[in-house]
Amino acid sequence: MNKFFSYIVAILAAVAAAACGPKSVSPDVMSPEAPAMNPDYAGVTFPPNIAAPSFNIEPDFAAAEFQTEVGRCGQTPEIIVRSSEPAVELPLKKWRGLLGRSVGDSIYFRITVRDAGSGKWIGAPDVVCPVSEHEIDGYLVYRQLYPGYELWSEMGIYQRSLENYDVTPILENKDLNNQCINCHNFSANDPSRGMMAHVRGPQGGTLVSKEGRVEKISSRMEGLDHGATYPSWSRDGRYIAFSANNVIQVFHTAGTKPIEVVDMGADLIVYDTETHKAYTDATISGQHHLETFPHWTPDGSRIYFCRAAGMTDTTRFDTVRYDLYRVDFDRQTGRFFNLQPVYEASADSMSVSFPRVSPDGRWLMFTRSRYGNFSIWHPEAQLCLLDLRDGTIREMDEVNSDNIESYHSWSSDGNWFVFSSKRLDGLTARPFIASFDSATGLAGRPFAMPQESAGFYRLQTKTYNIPELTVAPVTNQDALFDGVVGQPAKSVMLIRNH
Amino acid sequence: MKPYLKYIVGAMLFAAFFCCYYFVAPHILYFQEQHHLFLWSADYWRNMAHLRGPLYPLMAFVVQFCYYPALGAAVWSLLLVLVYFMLQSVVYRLSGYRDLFQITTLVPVYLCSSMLTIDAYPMEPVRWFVWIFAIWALAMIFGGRRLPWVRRRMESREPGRRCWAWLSPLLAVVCLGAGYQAFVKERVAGPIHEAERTMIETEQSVRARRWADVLERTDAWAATGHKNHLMSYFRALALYHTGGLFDHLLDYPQTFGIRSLFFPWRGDKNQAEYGHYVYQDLGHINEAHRWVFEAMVGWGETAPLLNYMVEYNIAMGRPVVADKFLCKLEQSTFYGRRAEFLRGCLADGKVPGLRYAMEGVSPDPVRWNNVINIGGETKFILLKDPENEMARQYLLMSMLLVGNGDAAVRTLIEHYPVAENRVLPRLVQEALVMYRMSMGMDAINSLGYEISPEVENRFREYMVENAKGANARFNIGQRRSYWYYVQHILPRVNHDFSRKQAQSQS
Repeated sequence: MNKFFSYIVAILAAVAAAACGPKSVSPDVMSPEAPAMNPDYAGVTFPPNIAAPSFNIEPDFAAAEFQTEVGRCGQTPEIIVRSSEPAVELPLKKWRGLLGRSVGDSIYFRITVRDAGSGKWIGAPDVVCPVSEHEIDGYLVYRQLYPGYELWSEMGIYQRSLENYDVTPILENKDLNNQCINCHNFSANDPSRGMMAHVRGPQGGTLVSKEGRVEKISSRMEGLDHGATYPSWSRDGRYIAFSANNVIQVFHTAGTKPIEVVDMGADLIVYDTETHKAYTDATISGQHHLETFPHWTPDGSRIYFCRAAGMTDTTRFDTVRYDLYRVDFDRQTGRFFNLQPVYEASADSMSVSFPRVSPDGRWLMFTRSRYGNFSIWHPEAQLCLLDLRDGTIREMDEVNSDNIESYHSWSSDGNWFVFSSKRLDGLTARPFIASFDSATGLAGRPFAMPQESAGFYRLQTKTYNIPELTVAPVTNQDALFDGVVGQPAKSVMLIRNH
Repeated sequence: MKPYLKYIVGAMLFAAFFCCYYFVAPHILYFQEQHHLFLWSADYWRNMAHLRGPLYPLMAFVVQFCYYPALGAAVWSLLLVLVYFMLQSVVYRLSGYRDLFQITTLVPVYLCSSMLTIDAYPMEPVRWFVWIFAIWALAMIFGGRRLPWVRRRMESREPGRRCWAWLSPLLAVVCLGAGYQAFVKERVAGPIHEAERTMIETEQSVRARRWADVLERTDAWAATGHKNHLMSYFRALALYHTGGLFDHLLDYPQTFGIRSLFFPWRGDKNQAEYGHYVYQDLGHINEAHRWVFEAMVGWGETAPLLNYMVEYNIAMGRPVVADKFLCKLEQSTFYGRRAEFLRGCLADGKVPGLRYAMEGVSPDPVRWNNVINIGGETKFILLKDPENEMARQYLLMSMLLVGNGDAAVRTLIEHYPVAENRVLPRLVQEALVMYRMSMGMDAINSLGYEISPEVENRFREYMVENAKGANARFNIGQRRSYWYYVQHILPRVNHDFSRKQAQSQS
């Protein structure tokens, strides 16, 4: 019997020892630099409510064992992960606890690697990451699909909780006879206030979900040559500005750019979700210019957008360059006035896309590339920031890479933004998150949206399209689905002011 | 019934299914294996189960064994035989009676037939297997002597009669025959089945670059008079690779005209997986990559498409992208060796045998691919890669097939200088004879190319026959001439093309 109990005690002791986790090893020698983390989280600013990042340790020598300690700066590590594999996947609960205790302070990653040759543990300076006082909006909504050209098959709009790794579908085309779903957008980052998406196909239309009620309107409005495409929903939830684009795709013969998507025509319209009328006029539509990528100012009185000279038979696609414009909108009459150029990028042989005004109205972030507006296939595409107070423009070197930076959107409070970047592999867009200080206009070092698996981004072949931060999850998936399959698209009266 | 009888019947079924899969429908196994890839990863299970249904990963797991046709046939046959055994057991456990009439054989025969199509996932057998397994498990747990009527039956059961020892297998054969007649025959003996088989096996040869075999198959197809764009396209490729493009392309009516040489991009998922072959051989890797990517979007990450993605991205100098697809291939069961080879290629930065005509070509100024006419592409390739023989032949052939005499002559002057090409292939000589009529005798003669007396004679004979109008009776040689193509086939090609354009625009 005594023997039996001694076995039990031994087993319990073993279990307890395992539960306590590994004890940290001390380095035998120190290296001047920390080994690379992939994806790179070195020096980034974390929101206090973000899920734990997973990454691979990539030392520049053959390693036999890897140890990562994570803790609050100046304190003993709270998380220790040791493995013969380079993948580091941190326990979510401990991580969230650590972040909670480190708000306004910094945490460190202390990486120690055992050299396979000498057998010595090689230490490195701590990788220090500030933890912001500002929480990030809890969800990221994105479209996921293959980064293909013209065909599509599996695609869907999904929402990912940034506080853990939960992904839930909002709309998937496998449930919709493989129709295309695209261009989701929200009013003030709040799905309950307003969410929209286009569906292209036999049951096509534009889904407009407002306070839980969903209606499907016709994307192709009478009197307009092209269907509604790129949206922006005003923060008060009443108006949706659309560009109506006629696009074609062309393919590069050489080089690393595979495709260009070209506007053959593009006009702006504003749809009133209360009266179900749409407005446009010659200021923002017509053959002479291409107008696209509208974005409302926070007060809903002005629209920033991109404008280029209209296409002619002799226009070379690589000479189409978009300038940044703005136009005021009279909410009483539905008229557009005071059209002004804001940044004539074409004068610098550059082109603007995706203007986005920060929630406080002071900053405007946009993407700048050499030509066209489909910057997601332009390796030179970079994020730029315009100070709307003094009109100064700068490239955001602190977030840009030597590969593509493209679509971006602000968090509801403007303290964070998310953007698509292809810096990890040059093919698939990944959502990168960065902090933003509205007082200085400076962003923190960006990081890839944390994933549960360290190898996720290396293996995932689908792209993240249109990342949008939301304060709450979308909960009316069934209504959205019914909106697609159960409602005919209502026609919208277009009022063309003169 | 003697318990061992079901094993005899099971063995018969296994043999029948194996023969059906291995000898009658191996192309179906090949096709399915090439379109469904099983990966050993949790992400794969999660994603595929979500997107394509919970049983999809299980189906892909079974399909992967078709990498070796005999193994695939055996695994599928075993699955169906297990269905038979489980049904036998279920019938006995729930009723107390043996299935002496072997009605249960009809189920696996039906399931066998459900797999003999390329139009759907081979899901039925897997789905049935899972359901029947569940029923069988329940029957094993709760059935048998626990059920009063079964217990009574079992307790009062008389010893089996001897006659069932031979009658039952005989009935199984009858059921098998009935099942074949009802479910299978249509799928393995019809003309659609034969056509599918020919196309799939031809593509198999194209992938393996067995050009003589491709030519034999496509010639046999063309000889039947059936029109098929894919076979026409494969035939042109095979003719180029066997050195007979100009001598034999018109041996059969080129009812697809220039489209015999390539697939104009029409956004069709089914065409997408074939369009890259010609661009790969031309060294136009950007365009080949685009086709393969589109195919991958349409069909998913299949083994051949992943393989091409890796190869093309290595060639285009995008190692990180190549690595991404290679990682996937490495997670498969049977493509490990291929992945190992490609890993070596990735380290070397090049793929043996893959020509990249656009290497070093600056993307500035920008040039866009002409996705609906291969002529422009071959012309550009020749600018960058003047030694590209395939581009040279395809350019000239494309000009001939559209009947553009001016462009053909310009191509000849530029790419077939008379100093090196005084004697041209028969087809080109025929074209020159014809162009004399529109461009003038002197203009063509002054080019300096030789036109053989034999061609001249045949042209005269052709013209005499052609002058008879509706009463003309062209012999086989005349039907294979360029003149016949231009005057009697090309108008139909253009008419068909205009009609299809109008249809696609509407």
